Amino acid sequence: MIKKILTLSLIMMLLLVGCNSQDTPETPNTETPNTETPDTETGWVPTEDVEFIIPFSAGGGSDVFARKIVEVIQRNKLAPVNFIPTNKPGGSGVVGYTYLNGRGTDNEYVMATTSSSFYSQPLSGLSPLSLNDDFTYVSHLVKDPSLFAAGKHIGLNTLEEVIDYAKANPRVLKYGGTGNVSDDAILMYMINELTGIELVYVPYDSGAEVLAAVLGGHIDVCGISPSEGGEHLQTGNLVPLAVSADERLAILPDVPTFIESGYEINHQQSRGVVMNADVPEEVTKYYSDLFKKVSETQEWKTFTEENVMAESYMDYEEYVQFSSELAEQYQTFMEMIERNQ
Amino acid sequence: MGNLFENLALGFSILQDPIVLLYSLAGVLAGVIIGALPGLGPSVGIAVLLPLTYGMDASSGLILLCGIYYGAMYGGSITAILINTPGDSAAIMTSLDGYQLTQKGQAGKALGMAAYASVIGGTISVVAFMILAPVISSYALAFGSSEYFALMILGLTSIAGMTGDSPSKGFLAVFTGLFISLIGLDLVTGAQRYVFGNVNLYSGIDFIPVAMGLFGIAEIISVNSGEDITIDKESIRIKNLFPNKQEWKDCSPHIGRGTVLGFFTGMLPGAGATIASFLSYSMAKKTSKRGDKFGTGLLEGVAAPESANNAASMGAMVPMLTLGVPGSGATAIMMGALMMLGITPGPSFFIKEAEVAWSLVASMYIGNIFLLLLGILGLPLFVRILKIKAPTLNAVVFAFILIGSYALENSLFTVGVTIFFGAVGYFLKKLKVPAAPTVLGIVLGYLTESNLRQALIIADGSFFGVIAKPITAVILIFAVLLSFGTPITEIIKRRIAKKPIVQ
Amino acid sequence: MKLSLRQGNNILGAIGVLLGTVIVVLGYVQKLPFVKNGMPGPGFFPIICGIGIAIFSALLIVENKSKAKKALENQEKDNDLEENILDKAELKNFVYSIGSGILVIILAPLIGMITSIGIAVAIMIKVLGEDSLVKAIIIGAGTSLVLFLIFKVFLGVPLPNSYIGL
Repeated sequence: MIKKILTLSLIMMLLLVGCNSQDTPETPNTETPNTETPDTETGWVPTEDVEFIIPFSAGGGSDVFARKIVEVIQRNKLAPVNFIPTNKPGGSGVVGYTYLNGRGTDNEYVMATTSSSFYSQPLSGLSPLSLNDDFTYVSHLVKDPSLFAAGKHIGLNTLEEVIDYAKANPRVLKYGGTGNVSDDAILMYMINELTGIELVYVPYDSGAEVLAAVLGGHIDVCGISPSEGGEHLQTGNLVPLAVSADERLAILPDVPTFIESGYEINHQQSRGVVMNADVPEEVTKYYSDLFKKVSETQEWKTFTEENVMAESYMDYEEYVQFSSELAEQYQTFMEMIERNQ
Repeated sequence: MGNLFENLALGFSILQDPIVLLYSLAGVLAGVIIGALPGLGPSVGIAVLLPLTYGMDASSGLILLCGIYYGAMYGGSITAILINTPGDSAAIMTSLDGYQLTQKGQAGKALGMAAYASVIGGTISVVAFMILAPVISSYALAFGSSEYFALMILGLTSIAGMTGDSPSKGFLAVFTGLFISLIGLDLVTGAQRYVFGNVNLYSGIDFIPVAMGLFGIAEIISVNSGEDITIDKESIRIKNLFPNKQEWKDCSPHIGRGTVLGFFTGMLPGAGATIASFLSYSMAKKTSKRGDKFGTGLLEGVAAPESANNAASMGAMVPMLTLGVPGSGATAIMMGALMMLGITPGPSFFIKEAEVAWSLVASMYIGNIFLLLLGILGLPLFVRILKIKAPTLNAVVFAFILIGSYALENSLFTVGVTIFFGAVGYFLKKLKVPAAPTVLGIVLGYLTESNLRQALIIADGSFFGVIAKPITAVILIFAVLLSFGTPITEIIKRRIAKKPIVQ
Repeated sequence: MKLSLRQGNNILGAIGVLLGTVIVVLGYVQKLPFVKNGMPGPGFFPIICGIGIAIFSALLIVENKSKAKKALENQEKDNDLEENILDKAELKNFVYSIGSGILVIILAPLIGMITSIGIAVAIMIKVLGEDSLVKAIIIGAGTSLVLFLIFKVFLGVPLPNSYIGL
């Protein structure tokens, strides 16, 4: 008797949870030959589900970014097919991009998000892929600014104070960031080179660890993204010193940008979408327009605001250009890091 | 205190909505199932069911995800006990004694105790969470790299309890595990360590596939086909699932200690349920009168880690919710979910989002009750699994292991790793090399090294600077005492014993 | 086939010493600095682990010898060390389990993970058990169905792409 009740409730639960699923995942169909409709007035439209690769694990910045895009598309019915977010973590993104590259068939139905590792990995020799030859650039969507912040315990409250202290005490201030060729590291080395101070880099495996370390007084300053700082930036536990962005952040109106403070630092993490090479232009154009529509929705604007990202849509033609400029910048960054290590 | 009850009342009032209650149940159920599946643990469960929360309001979403979290902590113990295939890393210690109990025909008792320990540990932790969460966050922050280093060293001392007959084999296993954990890209310099250009190894070898191979697959290969595991019918009758007085007496101190240890370890962002279960098991072994029998099938060896891992999952929620610092992989994903739902955890979480916060607390109480019911009522069902003939059972479990290892990172490489370690694990088993120290090495190796190197950078290269801090020093001294304490006390005892003879 | 535990221990010890040495050598080959900036570099701990593995493997051989000697001296009748560790049935288990696993990895990109796992299950049941081929295939197919329901429908885990979309 008990067994019957149990099995029944089990089935009920499964049904409930299963039916509640907003994006019901469907099998990515990989039948060849592909079923592209010939070029009509309306242009190309997808007829199969799209695999949306996230080269990182669930919960991180790229993951939240990608899933929001998918959510906006599905909520507003901006596309006739489903987009399936697929995490392919490993090697700081290299595994995901290699997977994208190795597909062979149905390139029109798979794409991946980009972030700074998209550039830093190939340029530090850790990826077998070529930024020029192996990708089609679809759209650029947001810029993630970087924030240079200090822990409350060091008693220094502005960028100038920190720089003065650091000049008098080289290699005393410890700066925490994630990884060793990340935007956090790049920011610190740029600060060191342009202000003439010597901060010491302490690498951590995640933004959460950096945050815990600086809040706990174990390190003195850090480079994080403003959304990671959360409430602590307002309560004073974390003292924002300067922001690496085009303009001041809405949530931190009193914090100057580096440029305002006289230092040519404006490095931000770019997030966009790429596909494999060999994708016909009409397909790229379709997705590029799709992401434009995404960026124009109210939900997207709210999302970027809440997560302190600068909305910055670029279509596929602009993105290619911007991307090659970014690649050059990262090249200089990698060299800078090499110099300093 | 009055404020506390008001808040709790608020929380329970939200739970009166049957749909919300259903989410709590669904979360716990899904968690138990996912936790039981080899290789899939709370992180995977939460990640995979995350999309379900998109349409929900924040309370329900958080309640669902949290239910999955502690459900999975218990779920992992089911397969750990029945077929020696821990469902997740936090259940590895449970399998040491749990599986032995199954082989003795006492699977029911083991599963029952696992359920009780999990729920008691969980419930006490909820109370602690409720009272302490708003005030204890500074404790979580007091641990920096040097303190974590000391904690990892303490964890490594528990190898002493795992060597069995042959210390050289035990240490060989540990060093192998330590080495494996270091494969990958170096955190500090970015150098490739034993990767040789293989992209799949950049992030190192995850220990879950290794554990599934070493424990699960090795077990499948070595169970002689044709031999079935018999279940003592008596042990699964519901009456007998309540541990008897003697068993309660033996296990309660371990449950108590495990809960406290688990909760406070879980709170530390750099530690988690796995380390909590290691520490709890080794502490139980040291403090129990029957310490040397651990590993042969002792209920205490199940109670200690199970209470610790559930307590740790509660503990991990503390820094996540009150500081915005996730205490573990699973909580990191939960935090991502919260942010997508528009909630930013932080110091004022309990005040600004009082409804969400307190309905979560209320749901944890109810969720633990669901867990207990599921555990006890489901027991006859779980145990029926063992009635399946060995070759069939092995094949099906193998299937789950394969797909589980794939699902971890959506990669066939991981499946390869699992199979490789399955093969290796079989031979190690035949040669009587214990598998637990290897896993211990893999879990703790990388963390010990990276924390030490971070601490050294912070201390400007001075090792003395690293250990000359209060918390660090205390933990390290404790670790030294634990490792060498027994031999030293033995020597002292012998000296004292010798004296009267001389006189 | 017979291999005693004592012999096995010696082989393990030898492999261990070899492995430890290889690790240390490779550490130098990869140019991993032992010490960098006055602190342990990327090569420090791996090389120490390599040394540890080699040392304890050597100790294992010594321990093994002394245990064997003791057993001989005490003329123990049931000497654990002389137990045969090879078992024909288990070796068959081994070959077919690991083999099926490798088969799955090879077949998954071609015919889908779920189908290849189903085949692997059927193979293992037929070869290692006493059931008929029909029963093996049924259980294999059943497992595939259950896996499909749990992982594809319930959990929505994307499985490797293949030509038949499973």
